[in-house]
Amino acid sequence: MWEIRGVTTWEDAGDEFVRVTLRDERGDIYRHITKKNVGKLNKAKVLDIAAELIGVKKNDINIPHHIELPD
Amino acid sequence: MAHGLPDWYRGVDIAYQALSEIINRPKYGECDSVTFSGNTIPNSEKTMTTVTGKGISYGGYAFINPGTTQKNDIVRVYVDGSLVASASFAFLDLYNINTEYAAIAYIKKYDDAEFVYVVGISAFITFETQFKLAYLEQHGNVTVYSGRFNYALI
Repeated sequence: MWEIRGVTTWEDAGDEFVRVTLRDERGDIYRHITKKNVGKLNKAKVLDIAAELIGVKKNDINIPHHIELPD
Repeated sequence: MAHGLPDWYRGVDIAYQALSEIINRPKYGECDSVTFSGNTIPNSEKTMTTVTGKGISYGGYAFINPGTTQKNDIVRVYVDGSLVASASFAFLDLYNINTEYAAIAYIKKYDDAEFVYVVGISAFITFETQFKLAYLEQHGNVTVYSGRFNYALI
């Protein structure tokens, strides 16, 4: 099981970026992916980005309750 | 060498152990960095970057170099939804809030002749849900901002 540990957003040179950071269940391994111009962020979109990075199903990725994202 | 009750009598309990030394450290998490730039919105606040999650600031900066004075503009910092830094470039300069840890946001360079303004963001500010940097334009102009923010997510 992987867990989303953070979502970072910013703008640079006219493009909008989002970075999703994940951690494995033991807490040892971190991975992140940065995407450009993905549009309005919500839980489903963040899970899509995370699943693409890790290569697992979206159901195998947890979003902790303190990561507040629109549905 | 560690000694005390063997583990098979009970779970490891630090109160029953006599350890020669304990090494302890906080969990740092993964360090990340963003470089951002964009246009300000006249007389409005513009979000420069948001980091959602639990983590810690490793510091950063934001700067502008417009063709006219923007001394009343503000680099704002929100931590966990609370506005924790909101002073204008001129205010920070007037009161010499110009060193790291003097405030969460401090002035690094204030040049109202050449119009160069740099605001630093202090390191080691922890956050539980979100860290946000925003720019409040107060002169009615569109100005280009740039900057960098370093952080770790645990």
